[in-house]
Amino acid sequence: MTFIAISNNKTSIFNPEVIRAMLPLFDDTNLIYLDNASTTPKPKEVTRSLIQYYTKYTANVHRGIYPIASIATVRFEEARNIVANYINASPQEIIFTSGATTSINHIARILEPQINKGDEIVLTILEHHSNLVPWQELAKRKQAKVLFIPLKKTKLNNQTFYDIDYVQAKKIITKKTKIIAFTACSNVTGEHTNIQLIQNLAKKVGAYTVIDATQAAANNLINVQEWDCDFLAFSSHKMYGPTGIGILYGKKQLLEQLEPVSFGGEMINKVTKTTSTWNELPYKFEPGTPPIAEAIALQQAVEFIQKIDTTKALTHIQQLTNYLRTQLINKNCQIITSSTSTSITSFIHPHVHAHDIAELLGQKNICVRAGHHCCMPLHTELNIPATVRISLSYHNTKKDIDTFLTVFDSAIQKMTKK
Amino acid sequence: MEDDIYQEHIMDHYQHPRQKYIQKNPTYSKTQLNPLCGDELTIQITAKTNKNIEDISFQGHGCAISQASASILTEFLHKKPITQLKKLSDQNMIDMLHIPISHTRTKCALLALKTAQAAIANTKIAKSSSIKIQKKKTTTKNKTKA
Repeated sequence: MTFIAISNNKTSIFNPEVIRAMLPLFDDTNLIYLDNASTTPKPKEVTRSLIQYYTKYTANVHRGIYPIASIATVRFEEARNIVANYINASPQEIIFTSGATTSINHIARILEPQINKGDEIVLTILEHHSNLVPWQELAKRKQAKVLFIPLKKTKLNNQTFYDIDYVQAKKIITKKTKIIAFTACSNVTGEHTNIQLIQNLAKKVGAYTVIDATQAAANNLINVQEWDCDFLAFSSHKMYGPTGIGILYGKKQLLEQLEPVSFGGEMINKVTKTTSTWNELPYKFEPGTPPIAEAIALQQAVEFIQKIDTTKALTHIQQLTNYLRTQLINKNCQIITSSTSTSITSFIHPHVHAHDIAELLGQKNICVRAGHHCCMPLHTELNIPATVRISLSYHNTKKDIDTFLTVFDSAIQKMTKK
Repeated sequence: MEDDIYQEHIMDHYQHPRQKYIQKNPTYSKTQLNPLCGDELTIQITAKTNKNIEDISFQGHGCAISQASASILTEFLHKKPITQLKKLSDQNMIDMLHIPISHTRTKCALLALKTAQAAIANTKIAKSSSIKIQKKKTTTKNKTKA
């Protein structure tokens, strides 16, 4: 797995301690945050930017001609440019939504007229419910079918790995396939999907591709030109930005051809009593007042990530993950992971339930996630009820892992003491 | 952030569950899931209409809170009138645990009660008898007060 850092920012840094100092959440020096796949801490610049909009230039965008409206519009559109550059897209291809879930729901609606009875929508079994239920519902409405690419289990050095079965993928993706919707990085196993391979299969059969890039966003890994996907979705809050905003990326040519699915102000060109015509891209898909403060703050989050030497940082995260896993395996835990995983470790303990582990860690201010992580079909497939998930990011240190391991030991001791 | 939910009595019920066995011919049986954490619980009840619960037991897997609450609930209801189960509120169940239950653990704490109540939910006779007994009790209370 190679990491592509799109940014060539000369001032790039990587030192987890410096990064922690930029995140006010760690003003509480006892907090150990290991749930970055769920949401990330927010840099000072992000919260400052939100406050500035709400106190200094609160105005709607693209409407008023007074100075503060002009400032708001310029900053909002500048944010769009920065986000477009971050994923190697053009600004017209960046649609602001309320989050990745909404983005995927919209994509499903946008593609709905292209789907006919008997058509097939292919997903991987790794998908988060947000990239699964919208397709199930679309299939129901159009009498189409949803098919899943399964996982392949392999053993290497006494460790089991679960990876997407690309041999099966080649069999499942056929001329009947109209949409392939898949994760760029699994939020449970941490698998980095072989995007190129799936794109090639999609091209052969002429299927649309939709990538859920939510877990790749913070790692500066998204490159829509290289990935060549038709649509892509991610959320701001999982990449150090505010909640309530997400991105829907679509190829310009497709967005121009396809019809909008949500209607109202700003997305129109001309409205009469009987009919309307649509605004140009990307406004055609952005009815109503957009998340203005959040978009401007998301720019701050992007710039925060671009200051980080992500290549060095991701190597550091990989090393921490490897260390964590070795320790957990020594403690008889079963790791549910992919061979390409870098920052996410889901595991089960043979005797103690995930919720009890998470509760006892939480009592010591250590934040981990327990449950099925919005991936019920995956947990059913693997026949596991619930896992504990640790997801690392730039601010995590070896000390975080060591403290976690110490508290984990006492939690296990407490729950298994007879 | 006190380490106070895994108190001795909770750990005792978790590690030495009462009433955890399979009944061959129960009158009522229900399995429910807690979708949040994948916990699965089956409650079986043997009882004649309007009578005491002759036997109540549970099976399944889950966290210490869901397992201990199943043990505490089934132990409490054993040999009690079936109407008692109908009348138990969520708060009654939480009170029985004698531990602070956070918002995120409420579903774990209530899984056993919800499953047991769902098991007898479709029994019309049990429902009407429950109301009848409630009325009787109310009358008695009023009389005592007067």
